[in-house]
Amino acid sequence: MKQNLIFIIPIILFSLLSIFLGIGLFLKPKEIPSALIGKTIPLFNLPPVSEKLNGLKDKDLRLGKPVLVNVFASWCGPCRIEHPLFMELSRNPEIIIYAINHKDNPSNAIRWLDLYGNPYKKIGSDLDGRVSIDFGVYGVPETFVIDGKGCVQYKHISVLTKEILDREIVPRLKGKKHVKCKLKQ
Amino acid sequence: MFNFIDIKVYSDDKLIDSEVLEERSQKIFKEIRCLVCQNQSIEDSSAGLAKQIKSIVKGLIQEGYSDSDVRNYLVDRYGNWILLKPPFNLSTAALWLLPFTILFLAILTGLFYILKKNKIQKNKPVLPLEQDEQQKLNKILDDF
Repeated sequence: MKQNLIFIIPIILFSLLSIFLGIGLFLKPKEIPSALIGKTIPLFNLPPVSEKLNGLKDKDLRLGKPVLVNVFASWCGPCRIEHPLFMELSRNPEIIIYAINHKDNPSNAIRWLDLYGNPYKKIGSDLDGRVSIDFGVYGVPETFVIDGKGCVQYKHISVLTKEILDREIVPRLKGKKHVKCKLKQ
Repeated sequence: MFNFIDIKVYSDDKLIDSEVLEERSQKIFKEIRCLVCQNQSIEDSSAGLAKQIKSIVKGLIQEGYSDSDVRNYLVDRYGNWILLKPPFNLSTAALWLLPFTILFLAILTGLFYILKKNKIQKNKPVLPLEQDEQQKLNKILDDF
């Protein structure tokens, strides 16, 4: 009996290993979780892409209402795929969408918005990408949910889908699944 | 720990010797993961973001940041993942300790097994050979 037990141990260990490796197959290591979730947004003040539009600064993300911040660029192909979703969202007056125009030529950005529509209330032009780095952005598109106090709630990397929007973003815009930010020193 | 300070990346005032700057930043470059081409360090990578992070690292060093301050600055924004070598903390303890634990257990099991076997062998009474065994042995010895 004791002998049998010893032979069972490796089988159990192997099964455990298989389970972990199996789970590993379904992880997406390329999608780095944002280190900023539950942290306060960086201080920034980005100029507008054109004189007619609004620029974006950190204060805009602290107006008491959750907002979406989409990081996009006219040179970014996937941004075009998710763009109709933002257009649809922008028809809802309850939802505020801001944008960071990432390392983009402002005149190209304007042309892009003229062509596909502008769902953004305010757009900050991040020419050198410094503010994006403070937001932990490493590729476009990325989409953040920020609560009304400037606390990062959620980040989605790459193209936004209707599914993610309904499952992760809309509840957070309604204040659900709220993560509290630790006070900044 | 999470201060967003407006840092001049292209700082002109050289507070530290350029050779020291180069040496220190090269050392850090090797430890930082390029987030675009994910299994390379930023030193090996020529991706736009890697280049930019390199210039930020240099800028921070010039601003007087220590090496670990620079690392923390990047970790604050991108998480531990940006470090190629995971730091030792509560969430990575299993990762770091498991190999040593397994090695220790293996040695222990091995020792236990060997000792047990020796003990059994020592305690085994030496039995006289069976008749057919004796015959076989004699035959072999005769052949010599």
